[in-house]
Amino acid sequence: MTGHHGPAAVLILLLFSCSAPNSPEPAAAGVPPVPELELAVMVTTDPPPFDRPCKVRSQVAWQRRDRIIRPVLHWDMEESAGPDRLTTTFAHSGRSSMVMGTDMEYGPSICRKVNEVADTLVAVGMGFWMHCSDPDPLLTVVTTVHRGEEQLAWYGKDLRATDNHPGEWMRFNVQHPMKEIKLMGQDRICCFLWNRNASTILVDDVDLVFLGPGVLGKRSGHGPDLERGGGAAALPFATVADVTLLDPREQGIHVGKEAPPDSRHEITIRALGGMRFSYGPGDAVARLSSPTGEVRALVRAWHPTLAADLLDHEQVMVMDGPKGPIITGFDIDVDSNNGMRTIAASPAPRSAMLHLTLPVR
Amino acid sequence: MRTAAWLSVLLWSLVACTHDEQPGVILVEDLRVMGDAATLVDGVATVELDYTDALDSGFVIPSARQAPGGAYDWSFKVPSGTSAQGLRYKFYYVNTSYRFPAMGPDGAQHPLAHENFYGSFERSSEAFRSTGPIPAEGLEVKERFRIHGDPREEAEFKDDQGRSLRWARNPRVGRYGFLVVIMTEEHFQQLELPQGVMDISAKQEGRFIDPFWYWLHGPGSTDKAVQVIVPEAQLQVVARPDLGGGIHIPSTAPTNSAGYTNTCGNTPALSRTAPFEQFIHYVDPSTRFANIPLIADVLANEYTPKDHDRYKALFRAEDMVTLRPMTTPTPCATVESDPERDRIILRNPASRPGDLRKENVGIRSRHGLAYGRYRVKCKLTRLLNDSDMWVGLTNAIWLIYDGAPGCMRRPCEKDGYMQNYYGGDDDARAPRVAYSEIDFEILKTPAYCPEVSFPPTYPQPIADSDDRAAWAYSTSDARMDKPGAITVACTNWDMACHDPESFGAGMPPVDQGRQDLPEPPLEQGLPGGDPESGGIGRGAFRG
Repeated sequence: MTGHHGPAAVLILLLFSCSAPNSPEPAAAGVPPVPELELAVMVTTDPPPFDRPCKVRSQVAWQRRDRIIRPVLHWDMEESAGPDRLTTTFAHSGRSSMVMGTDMEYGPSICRKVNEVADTLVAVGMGFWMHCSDPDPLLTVVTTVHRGEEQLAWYGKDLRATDNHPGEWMRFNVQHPMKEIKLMGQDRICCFLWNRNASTILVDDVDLVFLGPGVLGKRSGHGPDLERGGGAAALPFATVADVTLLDPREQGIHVGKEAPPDSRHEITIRALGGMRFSYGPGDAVARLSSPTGEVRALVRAWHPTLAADLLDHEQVMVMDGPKGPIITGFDIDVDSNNGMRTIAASPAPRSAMLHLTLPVR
Repeated sequence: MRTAAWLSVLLWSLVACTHDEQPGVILVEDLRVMGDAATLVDGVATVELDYTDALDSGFVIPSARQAPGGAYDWSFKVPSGTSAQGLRYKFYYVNTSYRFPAMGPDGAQHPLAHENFYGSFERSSEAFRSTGPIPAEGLEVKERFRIHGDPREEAEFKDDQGRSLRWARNPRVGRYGFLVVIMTEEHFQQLELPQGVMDISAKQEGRFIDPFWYWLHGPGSTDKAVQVIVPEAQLQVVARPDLGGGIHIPSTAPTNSAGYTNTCGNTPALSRTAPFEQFIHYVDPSTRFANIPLIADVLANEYTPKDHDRYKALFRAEDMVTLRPMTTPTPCATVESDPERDRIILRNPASRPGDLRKENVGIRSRHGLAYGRYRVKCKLTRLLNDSDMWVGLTNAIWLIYDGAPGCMRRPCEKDGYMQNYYGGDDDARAPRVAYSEIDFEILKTPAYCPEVSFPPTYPQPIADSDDRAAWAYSTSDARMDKPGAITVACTNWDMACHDPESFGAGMPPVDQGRQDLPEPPLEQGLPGGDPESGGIGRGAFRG
């Protein structure tokens, strides 16, 4: 499936650390300050300037038993403990970018153990913006695989001169499949840039992703096969016949206030003759069950006026209403100092009562 | 049929402005090809292919519906006293829009000139015709010709009972030029013409002799006793399949006839005349997709990229439904031929509760053509909704081989072709294969080229509802496609033959120096002919 741009609210949330490309002119003294959030970085032991990845993407993680998997790293090249490798001459976004000068044939190497970045690693992707005046800089993006002292594999993708745009910011994306190697958890994957022509190359907004076969953390399993038959039938969706928009504050949800604890909701819907409505954290959709517990339908809390799914929030609260379930969704801001969870202003909390009808069986 | 009615008003009456190709003997005069000049436009007559009976017999130009007796006239006059014993003559035609130069750089016949579409008398082995003795007052010779498939009557285009399958090498669309070669009976008897010149179906040293090379550039061009005439009159052939002419349902389709109509089905009449058939896609049985079982109107903005990201990450695996792309269970239900408005309508059926499906819908023309400029006018469904969500439709036009016997790709000299369509790295290699496919597809997808930016560095999604950044990859700035943008892609299934110059993936920049289609190294018309007549992309197919 190809990706798609979503509503502006989400764009703002995710794009704050990457402003529009600058024109390739030296940064002047009067450039706007970098937003504070852009400076929200993590501290790692990677060599500068890769020692300060952006939190907003790089901290996403999945805990599997006793280990934490972080499959995504992103650097905006605005901060480093060793700032010598950052320059404000040109930047693709923000104020600065990394410079690989004539003295640097091999860029800093970013290394991770397989079990730190993936459950099942199938490919390593790297993408970045680059700026170089050399018509043929002979740049190669390299991924190596190591087991102990042994190098198991070496992958490289060259920037062909015909693809190069000297003097312009251009995107260089690489994906190195790992299908030929039976990887082990302690194997180390290293990525770096090989500046074979010793050109002056500026690099900005770097992504490094460790890709698995599907969604990380999603339980495996199979639903009904409509062709082969057998097994359970596909669950239908209940119809949302009507939606009444409500004020989230009437449900006790106020922006900036402490968020209620997240929990599973299971309530009886009087308007549906005692059907049970259940929704748990992490579910994509809610479920309608008979009083005896038989799941009858899935529920997508779609609001046609808002053109949004009310369950599309980091936290959801469900109550019984006169016509059907009242669903209130909101996102959470976590204070990194004290761990306090407050109701986020963006995206704004939303609340509505759904009038549901069950599908005809 | 619609075309038959108005094609009959076309008159192929060309004036025979001619010129001799080399100074020498003048034996005949007033050569006329296709009659008078009255209706010619710039020396060119235009005719559309008649599809009526072309399925088995191949296209014939002209058909009996287009000219009396299904042939064009040509004639010349022999002045008195030219030759007592009479003359020998032979008539040739050639498609000049899609051909290799007759002559190679070394002056010999071009190594690929045997692929050119040329013909002569209908019985390919017939050599030179004789006028017989010339009366004292002179003689007017009146002849007829027509252009048909497999003009050399080649062995590879025959069925297992030895019958020529002319449809397997149909006449090409585009411009045709002509050539008339005349000599005296005495000279003819003295000459020892190669068998491959006397008989265009005969091979010499393993290959055909292109008469347009032999008489215009080769040994025949220096014989001062031979009159070689290239008429300036030319013929433009256009293919315009009748969209209202019906859709035939092939025997391989499901047998459910509930959707049949007067213009769609498997009646003998449709089987004989329909220019299109419903295309039943091959779907690999191992293909399976796990789908979110939600039905929503994408174009009514009921589904967004953010929804898709979230459901993909958080929808329970056991709630997904598995199915593969389907083909129609009811032929004619999703394809319609409309004779009133001369159009074909394709409908991709929506999923309904209890009938979740993804379906391939298509039609295929039933007459194969090797070359041409194809113009297809389609009204397409919107592909994106207001949030840039793709409806999932891929609009495609495929140029695909028709299974005709004898139609093989040119030999791959380096390492051969992949033997199988689905062949991988380990597939056996074959020097020649029949399979050919060039696809044009319109869809929403990241650009495959330039190679430097593909594939995009999308984040790895994580099933964590507490952190939007863990699953909302559609809004990542790693995306290289622009909001609202779609991709128009072209794929050449080259079967991995490495022969072409600069073989590679993707589409490197091509500096043509002008805004036009690339010009392959094909000959620009006959010598002395209209320079506008030659070359791919110059009015060959008016659809």
